Amino acid sequence: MKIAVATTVVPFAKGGARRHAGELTAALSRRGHEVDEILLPFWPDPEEMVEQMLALRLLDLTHEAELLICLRTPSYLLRHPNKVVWFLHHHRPAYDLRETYPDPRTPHSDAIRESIYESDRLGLREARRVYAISRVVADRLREYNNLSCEVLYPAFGDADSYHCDEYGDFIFFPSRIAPLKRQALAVEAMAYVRSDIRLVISGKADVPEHLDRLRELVAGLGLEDRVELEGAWIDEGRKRELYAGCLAVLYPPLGEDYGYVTTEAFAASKALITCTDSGGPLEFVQDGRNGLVVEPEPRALAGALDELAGDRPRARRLGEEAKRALRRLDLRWDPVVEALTR
Amino acid sequence: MKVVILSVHVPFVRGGAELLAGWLADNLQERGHETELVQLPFRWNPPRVVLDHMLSARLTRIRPADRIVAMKFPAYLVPHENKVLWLLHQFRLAYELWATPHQGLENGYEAGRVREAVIAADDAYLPEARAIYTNSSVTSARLKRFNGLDSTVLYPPLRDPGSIRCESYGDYVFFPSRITPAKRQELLVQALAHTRSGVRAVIAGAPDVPAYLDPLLETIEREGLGDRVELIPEWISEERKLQLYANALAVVYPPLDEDSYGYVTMEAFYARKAVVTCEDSGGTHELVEEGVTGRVVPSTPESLAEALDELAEDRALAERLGHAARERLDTLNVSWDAVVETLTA
Amino acid sequence: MKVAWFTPLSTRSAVGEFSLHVTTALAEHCTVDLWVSDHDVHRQTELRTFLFGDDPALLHRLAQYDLAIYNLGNNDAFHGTIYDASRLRPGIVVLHDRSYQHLFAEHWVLAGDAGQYHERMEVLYGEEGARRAADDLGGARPVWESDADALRYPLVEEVLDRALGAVVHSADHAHEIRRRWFGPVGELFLPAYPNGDDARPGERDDGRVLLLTLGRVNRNKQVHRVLEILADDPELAGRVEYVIVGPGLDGSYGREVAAFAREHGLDQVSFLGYQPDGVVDQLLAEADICINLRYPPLESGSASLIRQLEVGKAVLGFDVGAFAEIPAAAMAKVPPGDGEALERVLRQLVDDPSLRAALGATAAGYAATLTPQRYAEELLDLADYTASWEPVVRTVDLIADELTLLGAGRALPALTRIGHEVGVLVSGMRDVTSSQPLLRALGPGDRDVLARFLERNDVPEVTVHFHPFPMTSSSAEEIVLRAGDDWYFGAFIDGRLVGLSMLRGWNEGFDVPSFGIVVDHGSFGQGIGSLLTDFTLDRAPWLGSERVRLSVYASNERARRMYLSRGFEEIEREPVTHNGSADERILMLKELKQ
Repeated sequence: MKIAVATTVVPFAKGGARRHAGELTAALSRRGHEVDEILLPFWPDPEEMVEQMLALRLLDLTHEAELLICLRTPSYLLRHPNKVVWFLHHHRPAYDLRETYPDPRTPHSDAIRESIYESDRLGLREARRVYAISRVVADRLREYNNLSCEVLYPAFGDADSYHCDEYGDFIFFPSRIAPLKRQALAVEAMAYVRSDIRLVISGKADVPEHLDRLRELVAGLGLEDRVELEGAWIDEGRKRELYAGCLAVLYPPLGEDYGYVTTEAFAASKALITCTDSGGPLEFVQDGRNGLVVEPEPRALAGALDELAGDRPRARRLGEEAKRALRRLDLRWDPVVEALTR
Repeated sequence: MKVVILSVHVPFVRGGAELLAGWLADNLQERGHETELVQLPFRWNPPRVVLDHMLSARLTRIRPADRIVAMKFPAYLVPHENKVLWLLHQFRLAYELWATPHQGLENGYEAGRVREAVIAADDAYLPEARAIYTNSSVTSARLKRFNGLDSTVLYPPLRDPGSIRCESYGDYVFFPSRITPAKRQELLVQALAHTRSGVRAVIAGAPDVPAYLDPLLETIEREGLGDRVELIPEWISEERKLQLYANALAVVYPPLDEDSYGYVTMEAFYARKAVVTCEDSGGTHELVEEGVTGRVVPSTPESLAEALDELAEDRALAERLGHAARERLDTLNVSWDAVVETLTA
Repeated sequence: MKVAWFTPLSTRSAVGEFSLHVTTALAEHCTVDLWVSDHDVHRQTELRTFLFGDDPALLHRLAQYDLAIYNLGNNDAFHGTIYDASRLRPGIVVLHDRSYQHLFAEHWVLAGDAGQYHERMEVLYGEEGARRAADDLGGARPVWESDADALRYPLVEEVLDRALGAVVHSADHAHEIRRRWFGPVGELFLPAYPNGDDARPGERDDGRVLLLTLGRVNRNKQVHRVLEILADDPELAGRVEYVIVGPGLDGSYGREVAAFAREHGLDQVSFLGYQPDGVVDQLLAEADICINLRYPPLESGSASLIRQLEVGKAVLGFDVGAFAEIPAAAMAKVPPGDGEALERVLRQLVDDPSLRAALGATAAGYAATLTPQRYAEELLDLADYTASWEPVVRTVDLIADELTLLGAGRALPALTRIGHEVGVLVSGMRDVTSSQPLLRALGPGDRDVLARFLERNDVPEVTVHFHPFPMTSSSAEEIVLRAGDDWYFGAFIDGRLVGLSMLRGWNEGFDVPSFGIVVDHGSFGQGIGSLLTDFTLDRAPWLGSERVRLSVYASNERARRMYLSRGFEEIEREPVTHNGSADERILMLKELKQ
């Protein structure tokens, strides 16, 4: 079958959508489909959103492919009679973050938000089927769009490329640096940590100011010796090395849609420490079994870090159970391809 | 600098332009520029969808980028305050190919109207660019003629010219290109039948459709040229190609009205080989100068044969022209350094 | 082609009369069905007629037609249901009037939906329109009762919304519409049609000159101007009789002018009120001068004017609107604000029977060219042209629909930016067309337009130089359907084929094609020939030709010089007898460079 895999991307940002589209394309090709990837630039500035949405609507891919698979919002505005959406996330500032992290207020915010709602309704209604990338996202689709859909987890094809060397003396926090990922919360927690465990934060900042602010926080708390900030894209080899050597992985985002960090940590046999409001990771992490789930609050987080630092065998036990949990999840491409091309 | 290279992509089709965009991206990256390649989907039939694509491009926003390098229609319509164009060509179907067998747009009023919209959009929006560069003087001349716009020629370099070498001036002429009527492989075969020097020819390249091989095979058979024409009807490996360049007497490249000088010409020049081309070959004339860096002859088998014989009977001449060809290339300053510097200036 | 023609057919409707004549002519080219909704005494027609006013469900049948044409005037009783039908299926609208305030006032406000009226006034004319509409609804003088306001807020946008094309009846009105609407606008002059010949000029026994004004009596007819002249000049008044025919005497203006005539003792002035066609025809036959002063112009063209010209009357009118576009020798025109000129010209006309006769004769000759056949053919050309706009109309509709689907609120700045982009594309296209013709290769879809072109140009001034094939519809069919290796190109202006060029000879086995060109005799001297020649020669190398030949008569010196200037060289001369006299056939050749 001729299949077009479409997603929106933000130029220069190496977000999950790009990776997702690439892996899906490869998986579909392996199954003998003729696949082409269509990456469309989209800049999520609400003020320019309506014309960009129209730009997508003006593209009709009916004659290009028999099936159009749409990923990141709002790529499902592309026109095609046989459209399947694998929904990654909403434009969250208009939905679940509307109260906490809304788009900047302008004279037209309300009208633009209405248009975002309307366009999502439109694109999703047109789709033959909609899958959500995680339970969290499926719940949001039900809550905000009155749409119930199946959850289809992304396959984790290269789980075997992760390994575990040891349960070392640092906690690893890999992620792009952004307020929603809550690196600041992790740094603040370090101020309360009593053990000598270190924290390695690595990832590129969405905007340089986020990194600067984090640096100031580290300096302000006098944590330069115990918090290592690698503010750049981490290459795949180095990332695996850090996963392999850390004691456990910390990932406390706010309402994450899915979170590749979880499965990567599990693949490296590492426990994941996350928060009760972290969203996606909670679908995999069971408190006290393959990780720790605590309140999103510095002291609680510090407690969790100390707990594992003071009991390495426990960190190992949780990590090994995490690896088993990952195997049980059976995140292969076959069922994904099956579902999307059904 | 954050650079976005903007081009178009016809879903499920790969073309030469995409290769060039990719090489440009690599070279920008190597020189420390953060680079992203953006390709907008494009389709032109029925003609009315061209309007949708143009408008879609105008409503597309590329942020954040310090510089946009736009290469093809309608991607170059995307607005940006810091946009430069490196045009491979405009939407040719609306310009020089309009109302010819190559029109490529379903005929009718609708296409006529859409063509007007393309020209109107080019007139209105091309001048938005901070600078317009083109891949050849042919493209520049068309831009001047159709839209009254001045532009500067910026020759696209080869991906990796360093690997091209010259070993000897052998007993064959080399014609590497995809096999298609517009490239006129048949002309070379016919010419060979008229030569008296015994010069051989190696023709290498995949046919666009298998049927394009038939007339070549027939002529070879009819003229009994089996031992003098080596036909390799497939893509040859890079190394095999370099080998064939390195030991050719000269390179033959006589396409019909080519847009630009063509990579073949440039590769030949790097390999210190004279290029034999025709008076109606268009873009090749930008590099090939009659009697200096090669031969430019009428597009008849007899004239071509004459030129091949002269080279075969006077190797020193072939060598002299070949060296001049290489020198000509050096004066053009065709390099990725120059391209990157110009496009990010 | 199958056309659905929406019109009132009432004997009281001038549009009905127009429709009757035009559709009869149109039916010579295609199938025409009439779609009628008014309940009135209808004119007789032989065409199939659907009375959809009785059965709106009939409108589902519209899908069977290739084209729908909607005749719209400023009157709900005759045009309201036609407007409603035009919402269902896009088509060409014929704009008989310049303002549609009355239509919508009746259609919406009187029907109890003032909100709709108010909203459209705001959408179309912004705050200013909203305020003016609010005044109306608040009891001030409504927009539609003021000519100036009715033209300022014409609501014509409302009838054009979703139209594929518009027909207007004067260049002046076309200009106005193009300012308000992006779509294709055709300027067709109203046709003239003889009204039967029962009426005979009567002999007047008193020797007075009969002045006649026709039409509803209102301020727009400017009757008071004539009355004032007569009141001021008893001598002139004594030599004329002035008859005003038309309803409206009970209106404020009717009462005002009647009172004025009484007060000034103008007993040679009579107001006859509404009169049936027979009476009007008789009066028209007897009249010496038709006074047709309409200001400001509210109609797109003027059917009454064409009628008066057709019967060969001297007409006195203002030099505005469609009147301004009538040849100066065919009627007497004065500037609207110039009272002195009006008086002077009226006196000249009254004084000088030979001047009246000369104007009348020119008028009749001019009107004779305005045949319903010509109107029908131009309308068909416009229909083709309209088809060319289909992608634009479709794109604009698509954008409108998509923005609605996307829930984009009207106040968003993004809409202004989108509107700007659409505007550049669309206006760019129009600039290109209006400045030069559209040039392209002909294809099978061009059969009808080419047939009309050939038949239209089967005249000596064309065929004397151009005769490679008969100028008939079968040649047209041959050309577009069986072109083979030969190529034919056309130059189009507003959908009308105005030039044809060709590179032929390949079909017959020649290597070197022969170039030929013919320009519409109505479009000589506009540079179309050179443009099309250059275009065609430009294509030739792409068609695989290195040389082009042509033959030209030595007597056609202008053409010969044009070819020389384009690099053709003479290679042969052959003496021939051409057009009855000795001439030479010159063979020319041009080498083409890529």
